[in-house]
Amino acid sequence: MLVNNSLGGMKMKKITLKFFFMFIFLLVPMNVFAEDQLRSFTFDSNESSHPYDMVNSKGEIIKYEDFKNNNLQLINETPSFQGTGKISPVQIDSLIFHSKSFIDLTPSPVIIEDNLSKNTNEITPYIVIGEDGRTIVENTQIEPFSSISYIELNWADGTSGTCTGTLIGRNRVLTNAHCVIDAGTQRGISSATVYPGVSDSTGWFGSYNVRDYFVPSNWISTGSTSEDFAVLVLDANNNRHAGDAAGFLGIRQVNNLLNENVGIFGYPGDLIRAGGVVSQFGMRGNVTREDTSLAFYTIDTAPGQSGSALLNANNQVVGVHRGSYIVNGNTMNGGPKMNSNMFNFVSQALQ
Amino acid sequence: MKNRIPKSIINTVLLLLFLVALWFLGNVSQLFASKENTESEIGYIVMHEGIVYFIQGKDVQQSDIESFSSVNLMYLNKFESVSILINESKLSMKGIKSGDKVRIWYSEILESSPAKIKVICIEKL
Repeated sequence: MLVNNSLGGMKMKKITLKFFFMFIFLLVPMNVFAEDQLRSFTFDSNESSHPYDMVNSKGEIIKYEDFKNNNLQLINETPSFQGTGKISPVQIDSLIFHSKSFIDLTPSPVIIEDNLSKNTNEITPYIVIGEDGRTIVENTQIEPFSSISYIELNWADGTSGTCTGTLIGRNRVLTNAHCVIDAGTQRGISSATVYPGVSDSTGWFGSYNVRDYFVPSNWISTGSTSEDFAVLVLDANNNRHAGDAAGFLGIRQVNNLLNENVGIFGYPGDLIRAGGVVSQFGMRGNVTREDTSLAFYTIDTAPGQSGSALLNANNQVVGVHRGSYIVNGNTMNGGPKMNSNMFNFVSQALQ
Repeated sequence: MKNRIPKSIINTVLLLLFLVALWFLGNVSQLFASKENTESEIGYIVMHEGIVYFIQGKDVQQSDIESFSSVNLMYLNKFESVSILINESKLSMKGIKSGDKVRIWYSEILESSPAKIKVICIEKL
């Protein structure tokens, strides 16, 4: 009887302990076990010998010397791709007609929490030059607008932010280097999420986590304007890549952009706050000044539009918008243009 | 009998004065030169967790600055704009503290959100 009691007591103790641990486990937030999507970034500048050496999110270096000759076929552009987007009713009907079971793998639209609209104050735009020429993109489900992506960033120090990026491959997004690595502190983002083709706070093509990124070494070492570009690598969502659904744009190598008409589309914080929803805005205009690595223009932009592509008349990516500069006393917007160095880097990152 | 100051001391003092004047003129000319290709803005400094923020708004109160949090920074509705200052020129921030009203001169704005401003010169108002 005594033995039975003690055995029963031990069982009870075991069960109580099990429940106790299960209870503790339930109390622990799941994200404790989830590693940040991106590991902490460490970079040794002594190991880099060229400004366009590729550095990834772990600080590993791919030498420019090793990939610059990969373009021996003398290509100067990469192809674009029209995404399958949302399955059209016609396609669905035809599948039903053929009595095939149909699983829609299109990532469902994601509603982006409308935190920005909580701010009712209008932000003074820094870099609207003269009258504001930006207009809303009504339909973000067609090219090139479906490839223009809203990026939410989380930095290792706990702060957050946003940028714009452009799908240039199935799971590759072109943006600014300063959107992923702070050159001053040499710290990188801890995680980021990409939403292609956003309008009315809806990511029509789903959301994609950033798995890795490539940044020129000179950006990290010096914060050089010419190397302020990065290529993000995205995870698939529901086995579907962002570029398959939303489509992606081709990149084109350029030498001169002066007087060429370019479009800049993205997600400016000032207009998003004013409108109360995350939407895409943009404007076209001419490049009015350039040097060997930078293009300048008076196209209106605002914070949040860093990383927007410079699109030529054929909607090929010929550069990346970075911010505003004071040139000879005048405020101009600008960013790195797709010269041969940048083209080699980005096309390598596409592989 | 008069106590005469040795000539060598006078020369040393004169040399020191000359060097100080040269340093002062150098600084002033550098200040003017650096401001040439810049724009300026007025706002408030907030130093928070090692980051120097530049905030603008019409009715910024000291309590707003004291309760400043970097969490959900871009959604703050207290300020018209919140930017991060990049101090590449290694400007001395001595004498400038959180809550101070300042004028900044800058050469570039990086348009991520929040914006990052490359500050060339900073002056407490």
